[in-house]
Amino acid sequence: MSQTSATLLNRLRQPGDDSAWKTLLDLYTPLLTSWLRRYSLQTSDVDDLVQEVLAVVVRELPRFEHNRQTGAFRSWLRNILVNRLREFWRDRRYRPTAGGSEVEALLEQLAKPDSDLSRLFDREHDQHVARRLLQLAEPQFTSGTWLAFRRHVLEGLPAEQVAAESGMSVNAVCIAKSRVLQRLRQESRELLD
Amino acid sequence: MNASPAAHPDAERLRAYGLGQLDADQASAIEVHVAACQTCCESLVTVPDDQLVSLLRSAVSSATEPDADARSTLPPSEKQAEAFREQATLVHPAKSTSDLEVPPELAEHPRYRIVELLGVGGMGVVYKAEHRLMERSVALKVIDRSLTNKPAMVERFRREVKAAGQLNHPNIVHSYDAEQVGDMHYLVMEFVAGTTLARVVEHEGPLPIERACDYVRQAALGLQKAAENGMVHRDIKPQNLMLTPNGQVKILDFGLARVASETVPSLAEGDLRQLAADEKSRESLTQIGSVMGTPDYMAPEQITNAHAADIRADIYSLGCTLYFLLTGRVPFPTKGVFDKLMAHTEQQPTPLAKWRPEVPIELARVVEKMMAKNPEKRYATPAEVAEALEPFTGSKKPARRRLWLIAAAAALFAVLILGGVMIYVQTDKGEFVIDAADDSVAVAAKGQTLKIIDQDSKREYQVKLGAQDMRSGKYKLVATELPGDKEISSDKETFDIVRGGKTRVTVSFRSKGSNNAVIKKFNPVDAKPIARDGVTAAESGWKIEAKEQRENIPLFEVKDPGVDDCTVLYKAKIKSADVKGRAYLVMWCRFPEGEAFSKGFGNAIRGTTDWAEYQIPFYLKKGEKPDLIKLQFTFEGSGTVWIKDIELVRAPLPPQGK
Repeated sequence: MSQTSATLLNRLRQPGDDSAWKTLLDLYTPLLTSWLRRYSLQTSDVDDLVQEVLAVVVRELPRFEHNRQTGAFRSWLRNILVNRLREFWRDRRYRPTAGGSEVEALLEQLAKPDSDLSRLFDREHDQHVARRLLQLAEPQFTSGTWLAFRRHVLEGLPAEQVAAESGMSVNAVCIAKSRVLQRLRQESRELLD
Repeated sequence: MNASPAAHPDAERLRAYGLGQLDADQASAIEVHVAACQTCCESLVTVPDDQLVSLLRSAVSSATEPDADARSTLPPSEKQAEAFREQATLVHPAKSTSDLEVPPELAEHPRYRIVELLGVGGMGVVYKAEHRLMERSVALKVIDRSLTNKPAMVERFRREVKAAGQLNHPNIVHSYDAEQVGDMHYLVMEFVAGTTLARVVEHEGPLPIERACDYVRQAALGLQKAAENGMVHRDIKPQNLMLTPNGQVKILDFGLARVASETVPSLAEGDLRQLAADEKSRESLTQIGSVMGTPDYMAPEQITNAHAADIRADIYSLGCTLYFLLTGRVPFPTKGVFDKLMAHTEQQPTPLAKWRPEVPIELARVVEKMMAKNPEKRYATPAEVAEALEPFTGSKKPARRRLWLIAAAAALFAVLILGGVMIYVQTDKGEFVIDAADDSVAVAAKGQTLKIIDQDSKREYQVKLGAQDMRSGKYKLVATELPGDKEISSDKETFDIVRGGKTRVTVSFRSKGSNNAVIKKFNPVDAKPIARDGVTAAESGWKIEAKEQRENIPLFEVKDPGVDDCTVLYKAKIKSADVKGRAYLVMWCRFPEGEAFSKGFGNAIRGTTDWAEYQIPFYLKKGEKPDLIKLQFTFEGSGTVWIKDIELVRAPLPPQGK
């Protein structure tokens, strides 16, 4: 895997890149919030926990190394989430509304990489990150390029049809696809690999 | 600018370029060439999708926040449709990127054009393809070479597939043909848009009882047809059952699974445990795993004597499948092929009731009978299974009946036995809503007082109205156990009877006037849309036009709506003309403690040229108090939309646990 300095994770590893942090928070706050809500916690606790998890991510990221197995980052993140929840649970700050054993069972499942719950986490992680990266990438391209990419790649219309409706050449549609995919691939390196 | 180097990039690099896999520098060199080269352009458009492209497409088409709340705002039919907007997947997700390349024999196939990779399974790779002349979509399954390296095997395949081709049944994926290019063998099958039941469960978790039973019943009907033609499947599992967007289940891989299962050397009859010690048997156990996937659904008799196994082995596997659909777990979640096989022959699965206490005992017995270790103790035919499951499919009555009852002001109690019924008891102050999960509860009403009789525990409760919250107008409930006046619950808005860790009955009260209060109505007389362009007053509402691209058209805002801990509905009547792409009304809620964020839900308009009514709920939990609600119309394409009777309505939250 070639090291491209511009990937999001690499920018995060450089001290002082505020925009990279903003992007990370933007990417992960909604995802973590939705996951923590499944544990029927109070809204304020959820917000605290999300911040705590992201704080650990901030602190530990320089030591995170992608082991080249698919999904290394999301597994790492999931483990942080599980550990934080376990500590929180031990602190007894949390009064369960559902049965306590149910929460423990859910945590146990989330700790296992091959459980259904973990697979759901993985899937939602990837889809969520992909969706946000798309939103972040859109303003970086001209509207014509983006339209061609959206119609051809995201909506799956044949390149010829996209070309006909937009007045571009088929070549240009293929180039638009390659350019946007190249940018997304670069930005998502390590996050989705 | 027509700098076109004579040399074309080689196929591999061109493919990598097409998918954006090259570094920016390398890519720009090829880009110059591609801009002017017709030949390269033609091969670029045939580059099949890789994992990133599939992920992106499924990410935008599922279009939900990863938020459980957001998803729950979808009505069930919408939710179901949602699951199908993801990439249709026939078997397992792709193993690795190297599997994504189309074999050259297929890429240049005279009759079929490969459209995309659908999935990779133990028995081969599946592509979606289009008939070049007939423009018909088919699925092509390229059989793994390890299964076709012996001429005798190939012969068996052809015969089985031919036999399977005779099976014309709505619950079986139809195979058209077995073909050969060079030494590559593939099947041509009916293309089914949809997803496997394994994925449905992965996506949604354990299924409601009626749906699980309906799906398995449909599969049983397909199996019955096969059994009548003297065929068995041998690999029934959720991964081999496709669900189409209109709720039809279709069995995959008929014929194929059987031949594949026979490539595995059969174990000699005898004690499995002893066999496991034997090196050779261990090896064939591992082979079962590699050819058939995990043996989570395999009948005991298939392990020791695959050839002798009959349709009842499929009934066993279907029983395991039903267990999985109901619980989200395989019956024997042990690790390792050997332990799973042992479990199928020796152990009983964890009772269904442990995971799903609401599963009726009669249904648990049906599953047990399907999964009996001894084939003779199972149902003899799939038709019997279908018949046994029919009562649980909810086909005869809607899942939840609603009953209305006017509480008598007079002295008489009306007593009703509840069973999976929502009951509304109207009083002059509002209405009680009683939601009972089982049929052992009776209810009686008099004035503002309810009597609930739990016939299982023989306990009786009285529930009456307590204090009224001045702000929300909601009443608290006071519950006492009878006889005597021991107060067991007060100052809460619901009263629950919990048994065995499950809520069996929930009583709540909706007071008159405080329910479904209109927060704001918007009509052209006194409301002005925020957007100036593209929105004009028309037909007692507005006409909104979008020419192209994505457009968010802000319509209305309500500052400090004063709502929390309730459902906010946004209602509107919408019709459209020439809408290309998706168009929908969206609600945003902004919360003071956070940045503005979107949590509303788009309800896409699909070619309705007549007024259609849209009503989308949005759940606000306690403490989630928006300081601004915004309505906007979003186009992800172009077209014209008319909208009228827009209303924001406040309604109670639905009962928990649904």
